[in-house]
Amino acid sequence: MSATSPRTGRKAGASLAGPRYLPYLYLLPGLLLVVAFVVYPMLRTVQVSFTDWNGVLPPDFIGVDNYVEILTDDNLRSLFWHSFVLIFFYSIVPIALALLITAVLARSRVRGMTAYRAVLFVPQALSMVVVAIAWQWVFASSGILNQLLSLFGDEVTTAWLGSFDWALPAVGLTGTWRQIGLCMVLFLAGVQKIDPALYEAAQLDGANAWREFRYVTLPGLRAEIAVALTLTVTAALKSFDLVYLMTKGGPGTSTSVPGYEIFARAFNRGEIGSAASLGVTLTLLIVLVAFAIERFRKES
Amino acid sequence: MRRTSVAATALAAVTTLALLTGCSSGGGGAEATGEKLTDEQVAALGDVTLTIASWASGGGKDAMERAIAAFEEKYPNVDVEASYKSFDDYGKTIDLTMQSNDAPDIAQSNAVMARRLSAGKLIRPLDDYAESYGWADRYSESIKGMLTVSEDGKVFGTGNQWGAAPGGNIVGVFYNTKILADLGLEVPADYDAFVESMRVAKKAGVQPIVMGNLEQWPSNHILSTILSYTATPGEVQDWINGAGGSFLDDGFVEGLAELKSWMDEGFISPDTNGIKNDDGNAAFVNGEGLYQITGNWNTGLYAAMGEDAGYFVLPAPEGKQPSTTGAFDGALTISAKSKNPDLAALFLDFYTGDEMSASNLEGGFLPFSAIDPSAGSSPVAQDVLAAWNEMNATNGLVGYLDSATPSMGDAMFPALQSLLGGQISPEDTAKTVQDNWDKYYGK
Repeated sequence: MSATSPRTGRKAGASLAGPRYLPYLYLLPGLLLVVAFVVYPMLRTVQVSFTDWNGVLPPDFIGVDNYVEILTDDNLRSLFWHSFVLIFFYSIVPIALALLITAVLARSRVRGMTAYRAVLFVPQALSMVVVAIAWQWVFASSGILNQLLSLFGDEVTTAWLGSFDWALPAVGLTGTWRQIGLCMVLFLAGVQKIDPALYEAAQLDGANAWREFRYVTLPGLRAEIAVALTLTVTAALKSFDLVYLMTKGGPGTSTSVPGYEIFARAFNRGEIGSAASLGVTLTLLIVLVAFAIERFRKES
Repeated sequence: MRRTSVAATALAAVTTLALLTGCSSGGGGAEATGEKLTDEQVAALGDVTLTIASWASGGGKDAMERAIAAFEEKYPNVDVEASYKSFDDYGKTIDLTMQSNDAPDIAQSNAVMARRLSAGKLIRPLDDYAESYGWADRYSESIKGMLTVSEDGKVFGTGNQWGAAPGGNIVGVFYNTKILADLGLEVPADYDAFVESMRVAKKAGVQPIVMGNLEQWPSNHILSTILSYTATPGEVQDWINGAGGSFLDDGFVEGLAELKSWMDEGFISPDTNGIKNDDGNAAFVNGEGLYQITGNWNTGLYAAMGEDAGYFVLPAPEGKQPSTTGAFDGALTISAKSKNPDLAALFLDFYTGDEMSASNLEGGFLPFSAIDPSAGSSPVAQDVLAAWNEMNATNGLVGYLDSATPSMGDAMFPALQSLLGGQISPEDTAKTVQDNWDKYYGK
């Protein structure tokens, strides 16, 4: 945000804008805010993660014990596994479906496009509490899902969120429904900037719908797909709200995820130290994954 | 540099001044005597403010406000200021609030918070006040134990009294009087008759218990009522208090097996883990089930059934005393930093005493100072009050299982869902629960 344009030399800029440290002074207010509310809490979290602390009494320094527990505890490993299952539902499925919708819409001029786009985006805009409660009803024993299934044969009364096999996919599908709008808006915007001449050329060369999608649309959307991947994968890994609102991690711990476990440890059980270490681990994991996706984007 | 040091000096001066005036202002800094204050002593305090932190909401908050208004009217020189937070926010911030220098004089606390507040010496032992105000007569032995905790905040039932409570709550069997009569049954007189009545209902196509267990905690109330009989109330209370015992003991594992058998026989709805608790309650109100085993906090909901709803304590097996799950609710503590602990104790006595018991009943508490069951606002509420009075008179209340350790709910509730879902055996469930207990108490 410096006032100097890139073309003016450093010397000229310095003499115009005053002393050399002046630009940093402009950055200071923002920097202070970031340090106070992001950097400092993060460092404190790392510090707390090496302690056994209940939030009241003085913390006990216990070294890397919390991290050893994360690496060795089978239950915790299953929570991370649940997160990876959620990546499939939060990320892979919505991106695939959004690409399909985009491909169809990109080939033909559809009347009322804006309206469709708005409707498909609505799930993204709804409050998570509303989403969770609505889908609890959908998955209830006498919910819409079972009413639909009952049309095809015997009456179905499974309470999906109470099933050890189905609760996680049910929570995941709710996430799919929510994320699809985001992916679609990104892709539809991306498609507009692909040169129509490319489609024309492909059609002249006799490309069918699949080839057009494979060789024109998909490469053109690479950047958008990377953004969608980053956003949705991160959402899956840090997921907390849907689990907290829909199942409280149950039945048993079959839908519990690291994000929920961090909350439960810190606020229900007063195990602040181990919650912090889990938080640090999760953050590292998310940064790592985001980094990998960024690499994928740059390789284009 | 110069500017900073000037500012620092100015700040120091202002702080010192504030401290000095704070110490010398009338009413501030009264020494704790542990004695009951007389009206004259209160008047001699001059204009004085008591602060209260509470999570009360709805009816509970109204009851608190009524108590404050009545107290201020009785002692015009006292100004009581209460601040309220939602229960969730309150639980997450109370530790910090009580550590601050302007901590409230009085803070609401449950058993889990009491452990931390006592261990951190943030609240004051109330034994001297209990003695001078005669609070001992107000509570049954089991309730008194729950309001007493060791100095390190670990073991209940021993050490110092940490709080005083206006009332409590009780878990038991709500039943649909009409369905019971239609099935040709009487209110079961003992445990076997109760189980038999569920079998009859099941055969007639009526769901015996319509519990929704999606939220994970509801099933623990069924377990705890069964446990009083498969084990003894004393054993269960000792285990909850942290005094001893083990969930792996026969009585506890038997209780878990009994709960599972209720599930296997279809007494509990097969989809219970996927049914929202509210939906289960709605089904009960709509006459879709015979029983609901839950706490008196649902009484207001069931009152809509009028004469069709009734309540009894889960009947005892032959040769055993009736007993059920129940505890104090909304206990108040006094901050160790309070400048007016004697006055705070006077408020505690007033709020939890006879004078406010009708108001507290209206606020959703079952008052400890005996109240006539006819004060209940509905037939089912009258049943609940009668059972509450009886359980207090016979010392029949046993605490909540999840208050055994701060993280017991997180360990036990998912395990119970797994037990009901057939994922793990009663023995494994007991082991999960006991592991948590052992870890906390360092056994």
